[in-house]
Amino acid sequence: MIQINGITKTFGDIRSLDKISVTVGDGSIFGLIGSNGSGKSTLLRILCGIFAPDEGTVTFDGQPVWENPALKGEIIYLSDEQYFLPASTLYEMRGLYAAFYPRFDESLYCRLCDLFGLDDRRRLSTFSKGMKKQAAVILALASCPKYLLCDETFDGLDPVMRQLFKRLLVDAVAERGMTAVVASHNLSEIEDICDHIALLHRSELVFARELDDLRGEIHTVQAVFDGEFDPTTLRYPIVRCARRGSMVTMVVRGEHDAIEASVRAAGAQFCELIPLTLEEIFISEMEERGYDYTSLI
Amino acid sequence: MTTQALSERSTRGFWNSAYFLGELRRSWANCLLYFLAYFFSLVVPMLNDLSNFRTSDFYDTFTTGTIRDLDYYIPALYVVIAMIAAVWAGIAACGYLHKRISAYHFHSMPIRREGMLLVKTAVAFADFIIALIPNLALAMLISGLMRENVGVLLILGLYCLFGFALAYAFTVLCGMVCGTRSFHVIFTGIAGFIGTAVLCAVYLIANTTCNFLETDYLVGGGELLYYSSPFVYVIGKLENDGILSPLAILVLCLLTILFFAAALLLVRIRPTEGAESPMIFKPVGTVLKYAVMALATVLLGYFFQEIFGSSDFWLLFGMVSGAVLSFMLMNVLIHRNARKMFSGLIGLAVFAVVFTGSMFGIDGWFSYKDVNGYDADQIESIRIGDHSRHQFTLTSPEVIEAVVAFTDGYFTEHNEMIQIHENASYPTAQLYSIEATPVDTIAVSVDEMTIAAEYRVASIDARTIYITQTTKWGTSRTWRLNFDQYKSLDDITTALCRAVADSDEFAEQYIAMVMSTGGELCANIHFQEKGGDVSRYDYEEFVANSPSYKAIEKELRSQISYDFFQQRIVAYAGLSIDGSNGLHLWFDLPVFESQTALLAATGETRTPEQIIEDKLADREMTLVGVYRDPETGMLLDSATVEGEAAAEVYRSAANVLNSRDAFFLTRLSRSYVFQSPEKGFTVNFIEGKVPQAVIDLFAKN
Repeated sequence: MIQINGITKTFGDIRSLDKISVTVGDGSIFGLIGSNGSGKSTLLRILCGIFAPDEGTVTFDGQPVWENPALKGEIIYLSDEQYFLPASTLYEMRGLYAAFYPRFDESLYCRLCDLFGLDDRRRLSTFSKGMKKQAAVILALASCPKYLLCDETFDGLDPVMRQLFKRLLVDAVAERGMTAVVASHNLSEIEDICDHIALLHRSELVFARELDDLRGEIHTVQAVFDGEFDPTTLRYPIVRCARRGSMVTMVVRGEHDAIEASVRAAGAQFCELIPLTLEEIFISEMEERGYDYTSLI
Repeated sequence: MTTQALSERSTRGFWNSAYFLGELRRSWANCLLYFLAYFFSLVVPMLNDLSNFRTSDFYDTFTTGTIRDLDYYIPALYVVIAMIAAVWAGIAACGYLHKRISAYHFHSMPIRREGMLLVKTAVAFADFIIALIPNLALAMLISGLMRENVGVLLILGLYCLFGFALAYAFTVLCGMVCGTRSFHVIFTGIAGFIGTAVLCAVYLIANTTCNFLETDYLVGGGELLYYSSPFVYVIGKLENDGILSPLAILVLCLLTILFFAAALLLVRIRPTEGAESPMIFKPVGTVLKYAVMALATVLLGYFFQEIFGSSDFWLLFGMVSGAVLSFMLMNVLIHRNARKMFSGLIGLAVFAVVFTGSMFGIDGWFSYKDVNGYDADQIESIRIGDHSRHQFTLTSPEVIEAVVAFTDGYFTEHNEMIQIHENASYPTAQLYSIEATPVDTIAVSVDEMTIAAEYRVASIDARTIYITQTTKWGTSRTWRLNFDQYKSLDDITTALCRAVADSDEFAEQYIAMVMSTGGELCANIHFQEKGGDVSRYDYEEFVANSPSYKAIEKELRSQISYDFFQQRIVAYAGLSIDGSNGLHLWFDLPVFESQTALLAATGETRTPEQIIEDKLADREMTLVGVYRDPETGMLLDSATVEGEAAAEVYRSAANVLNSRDAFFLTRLSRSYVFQSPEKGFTVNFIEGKVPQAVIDLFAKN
């Protein structure tokens, strides 16, 4: 279990994280989403011991991560920018990872190379951006970490490789009980695999919830009213509301059945509730905090 | 050991063998580079020597296995190579910290930051040692083939390793406070030599301030310069002395440990996010900025003054330009943003005030020292000589008082003259034109001293006498009296000489030196060991009117003349033979305080007079000088003086020796042959290592 307690991190005058507290359960895939510059990458770098927090603590199963090589042997950080030794091949990088990570699995490494179709004797400098990402994924997964921290890992991967990576990630969680923290702006990709989601905005934690709970708490309501519809008659908070003719589309917080009953009670001739996608939830949450593109244009 | 087993060890965090081995394999290019550097600078020249050794019979005869010592191998060069390699390795070792992507990568890995640095350090040392050992082994092999002392090569290797460690630790320490590789290189250079640069800047100020105070000790090869930087110390000492004292090695070792310990501490607290920002710790950047500004201000000021004229305007212009330009440049470098060029203008203003105050302070301090000697009652001894070399050391109160009074008068008089001519170029054309007239021999008779000189305009220093006053507390200052500046040469020289020569102490300690350059052969018992340099013709000015002079006055008119200087202390004197073909033979001879000391030292049963007589009776004596290329040790030429000429040398020496009961010629302890203007080489045999064959030749019947 990863326990993050009151983490604060500043860079000069800029506060990157402000009293963040989250708990990540074992064997889960934890999605980290947020606006640009909200501190996702910083949080991941603190989690893997690159940065020391100014305040707060990070523990993995009760152990602090900062300068704890034994614990860091269980953690792999998949950075958004891959680092490879100068003029090295994937095979040589395998040696580096094998030197540091006690559970590095040679056979898994070979299998992953075959799966991704990479020539591990070819210089990494000749790889494309996506291939470099694949190489990093191979090295990370072959190290068999207990904790995998991914920062924008889907970026640069083609759709097939994205699916492959997601499959491998889920398998690792299912088979080895690995815990993954995935930070991404590609919400549709992590929506499929994450159990939990944390949303960061302007250095602060907006929420950290189970994805299913989150989905059950906010809905898109499409309803047809014969006459006028007064949104204030609904007993649930409306995040967004738009009317086109007799049809009203709303994003409403609340339980599914209760919202439907309330809408019908308000005189709807037709009412349908659609669960929001993660991206829609993200946008809705951001809109509530004044972070929507209409306010920017 | 399996990868798995090695990996298990990584959990300890301070070391990772598998990573070390991997890095070692990857760094083969560095290793090869170091190897080639030593191969071409050490092994190849020795191979050349080996080739000469095989083709020279004479060399074969005279190579005894003890001629070569550490000096032969130019230790400073190899230590410099080691230091350059160390800077290279240090910059490479810190490279991962200077890129954000690599810093993040390695700091996320399961090894402590100190551990990572230790592994990289081990790789750097392993590369260097792997490159050095085969070269040393080859050098030893070649040295052995030439029957040379191979032990010195081990010392050389240790020096190289020591130099590598010192420079590496320093470079890594510098790397810890820098966030980019380029700034690391700049900072290492500046931090390594900032002390030396500051000293040079102070020297520039002092040199333009002082009319009389000798300031060359600041940079003129003085000890002070050595202490300005550990690198200058190591290189300078090895270059000049060829060896480092045990104490120096101990101190420098401690310094190396301190540098590395500081680097280990900093790598732990160094924020990773600082990668790619020039300075990790802001105060260090500020210190660096103002240090560079101070140096640029001084250097550009004197540069403009030197280029455009000696007026204060150009000095001021250059200083302001230096301060502002360096301020802007450092701002751009530190902030990596040209828009920040004028950031911190208040700091610039404070710098201007502090710098101006410092300038006035240094200027005032040196100005004060320039014309204010020590009080006579504070002075323990006075040395008089040429340049920094002294010939006469005097301690009697009356001499000290006389010299102090003389110098005070000199400073006062000539300061006034300088003030009068302050707007003229220095020295004034008028005064210079007077002195520019070649002067034949000037002889100024004093009671006990005759000054004779053949002045030539080319040598201004010939007319400069240096007086060093040493206080009871060990502090000393040297003043230079430039007799060439003014017409009053005769008077001033006479006055000084009188002040010295009138004293009983001088009469007791020194007898006159006599030299003539007219003779074809010149016997010269020199006082180089006491700091004198008789190869300089200006020393000819010290000609004595003494009993010894009288004794050999007759020989001065002949084709053989003699030069004699003696102190009543144990020292080495020399016998020089100048050949008409431009070659010089030079033999060093031991000087003993008394005959008793000589006899005790040599076990000789004959009296000195008897030995001289025996030698004179032997008309077949032969003096042999050999000419050897100092770089290769190869024999180039030889010269022989024998028969009557050799006997003349000894006879003349006997005339001098018999007049004083102070020293004695006994055996050839050194043989120097040097300064051939035609062949341009310098050769020497080191003391106590003259081949027996030469000694035998010298004494051959």
